[in-house]
Amino acid sequence: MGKRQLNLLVIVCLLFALLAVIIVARFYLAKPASNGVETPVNQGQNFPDVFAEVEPGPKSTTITAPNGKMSLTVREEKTENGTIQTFSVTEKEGDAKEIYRETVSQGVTISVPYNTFSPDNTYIFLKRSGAGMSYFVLKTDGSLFADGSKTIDFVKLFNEKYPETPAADITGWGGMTLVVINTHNPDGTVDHSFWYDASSNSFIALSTRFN
Amino acid sequence: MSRRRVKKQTGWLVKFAVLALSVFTAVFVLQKSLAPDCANTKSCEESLTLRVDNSETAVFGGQKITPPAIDLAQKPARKVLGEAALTGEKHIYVDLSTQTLTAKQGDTIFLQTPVSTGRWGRTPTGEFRIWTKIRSTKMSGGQGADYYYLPNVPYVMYFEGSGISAGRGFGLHGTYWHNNFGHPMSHGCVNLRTIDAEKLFYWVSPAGDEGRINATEDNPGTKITIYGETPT
Repeated sequence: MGKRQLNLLVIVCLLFALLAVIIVARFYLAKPASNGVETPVNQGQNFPDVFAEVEPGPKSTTITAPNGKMSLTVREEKTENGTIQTFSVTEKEGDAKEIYRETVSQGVTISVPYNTFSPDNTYIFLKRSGAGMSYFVLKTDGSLFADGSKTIDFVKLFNEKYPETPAADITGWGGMTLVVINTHNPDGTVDHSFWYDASSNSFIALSTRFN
Repeated sequence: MSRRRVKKQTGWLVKFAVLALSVFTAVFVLQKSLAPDCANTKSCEESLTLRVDNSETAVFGGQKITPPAIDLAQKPARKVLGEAALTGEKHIYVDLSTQTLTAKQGDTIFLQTPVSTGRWGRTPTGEFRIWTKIRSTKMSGGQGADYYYLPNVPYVMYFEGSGISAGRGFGLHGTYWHNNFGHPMSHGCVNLRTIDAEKLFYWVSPAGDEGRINATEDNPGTKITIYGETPT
């Protein structure tokens, strides 16, 4: 073996040694800094269902916005014509302001989904059940939408626009004004998601599904 | 050209190829080692620092957002009721399959709440400890429609362990840009409602309410266990 070939071989060996040192060093540097950590919690443990929607009961129910700056209170009052459900918002250290009231017939309920508030508390969405799935959005300052309406039933609009992939689930706000709509195919299989933009009353098709 | 000369030239070519491959591999591994995959690919190290940017505009989901202003002089006004009476070790559990966080002290549940874990990036599973907590920082990453730029991310609790080094920037933190908790929405971190993140921030160790507190031997970080499979 010539001198040059020997040098080349040494260089190659050094490079491999360097590579090995880097890999070993990285492995040790990535090791947990702490020892004696407990084994994982029992995965079969049953936690309370924290995702249950707030059903208006005989007494008022209040849900606080994720940023803690506003709360929504639902009150119901039974009358001869049905149940009056009243929705009021309260800003931190402010007075309650009624933003929506509806008399619902027996078997129909308007409930407050867990993720009801838009991230900046400009909007809320509510669920009407008992006569098919219905979700509607409204403004927390009580003002009207551009078309003059107090509420917009965006699931109804969506199903009219996309009858081939009806809305299957509404989960929450994917952005400041964007409600996540999960859809399914006629055969029941899941399909991609949409966003309903409450600020423009329009739908945006997404390439993937939000689970 | 003689057969012997061709053989010699081929030999040199093979050696050159081996050398080139070695150099390429070494450079690649070195690069990956020095700059491991961060949870926030664009801000990375910057996200590990205390930052308040009240005049900046955030971007998420293609929308511009005004981040909530942060005042570092403002300290927590109250202690959580009953907290002082609790005994036992503090431990946080995050179940990816149910997208739920449970904070326990001994056998008592201090907080249980829906969270949002990795959708665009995987949330690591295993055993971790909080190594620093920061009142506010900036997080940025993603690309195209998934690009995000989020100043003033509140109540950040970074964790390390199970092969995840501190510098990668995985943590629990408050969230002002979405409200889709109970469903995967993050780039690898654990997103909490801001009111829950605040409550947790002042409950976990390392103890303290300064802008940034690092864990030490005398003030170790709270344990975190992350387990389960993210819904797909």
